[in-house]
Amino acid sequence: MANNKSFLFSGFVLILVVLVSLFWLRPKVVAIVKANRDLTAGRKTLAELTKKVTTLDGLSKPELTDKVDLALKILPVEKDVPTVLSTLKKVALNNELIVNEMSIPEVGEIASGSGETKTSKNVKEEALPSLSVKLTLIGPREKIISFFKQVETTAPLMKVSGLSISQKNEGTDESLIEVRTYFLPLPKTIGKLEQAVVPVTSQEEKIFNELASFKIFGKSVFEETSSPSAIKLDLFGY
Amino acid sequence: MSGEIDFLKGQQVGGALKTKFLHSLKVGTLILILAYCLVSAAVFSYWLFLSNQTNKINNEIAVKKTKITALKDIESLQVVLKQRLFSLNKFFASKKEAGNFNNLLAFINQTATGLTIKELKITEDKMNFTGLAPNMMILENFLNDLKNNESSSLFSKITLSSIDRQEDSSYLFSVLLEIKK
Repeated sequence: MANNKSFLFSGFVLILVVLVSLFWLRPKVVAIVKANRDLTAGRKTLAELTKKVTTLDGLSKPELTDKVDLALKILPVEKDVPTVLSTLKKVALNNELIVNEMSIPEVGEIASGSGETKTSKNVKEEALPSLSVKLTLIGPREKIISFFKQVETTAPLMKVSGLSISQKNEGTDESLIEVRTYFLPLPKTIGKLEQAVVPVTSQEEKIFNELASFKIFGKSVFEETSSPSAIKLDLFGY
Repeated sequence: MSGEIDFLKGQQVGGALKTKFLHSLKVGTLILILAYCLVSAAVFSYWLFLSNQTNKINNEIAVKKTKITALKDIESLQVVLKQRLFSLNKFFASKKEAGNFNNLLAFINQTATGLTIKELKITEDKMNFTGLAPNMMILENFLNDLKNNESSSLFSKITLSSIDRQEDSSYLFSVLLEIKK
């Protein structure tokens, strides 16, 4: 009887060990493996977030606001036709040139959705979407040359893409100029929360310093939409 | 002389072995229970430790995320600034590669001394220049200047398209210059 009790006890213990292993220990081991994996991933995420917080804490909001304000004046969010036309006219007047004619061959959509860059099909593939403006100027050649120089260092960003100068009469030339003005829609989203803040490179800092020397003329009706405060209200919610 | 024969000896030996086996089984079972309990306790403790650590890390992540959300204005500004500067950097680099009209104009202005520029047409890849030279010497000087080092760095091909002697001995000429990319 006592012998049977011993066998039964051992058998019971063995069955208990097997059952506990199956229904308690095994799930715990699986949970440990998962928790270990989660912990490693969590530590990595935490390190990235800590780095991001440190980077963001190191950025000065007023300084960034000024920089973005300038960058948006030079590279607007949308095709800012009134500002472009008034700027070209002002640069011409500054150089004592007569603006005989001004035309925009293809305006297209005034505003394209944020993040969507729409370029004209007949325009060669460029880094930035653009708008072409043609104008005829009359005046001395030196003034016309000075106009070219100024127009490329005036906000919004413009580039002379074609020109022809012909002598109208002694000391006066007539010039037909094609100016391309650029814009860039805002990014669609700010990206994932865990995504690192991409720092501005030294080369980009140099570019910003070049932008600081750009001349900025009067205000346009569209300026409200391109100020940093407008970005705050935009699509940048997490 | 007569000796006693113990007929129960075999049974006693078998009984002792069985008792020993049962004892070992009992001890073995107890050791198994003890070892199993120890392993289970270790597994449970490690699981508890990992769970606590994960919770702690998750809480810290939540705190950081809240901080980042509070700083989203700054991040938005940084993203916009980066986007603009990145594009502008590419734009200025391609502009430098393509060469710019100011350099071409400055060069023509410098070399065309003594000439009257009748017409100058510049597109992205070529420049058409029509001028009036008062005499052949000035025209020759201009054409030689075009062939010099600076012009070869600006233009890939220079073609004298036409040359006409005018009634007043001046020369009306046309040059086609292909701009280097």
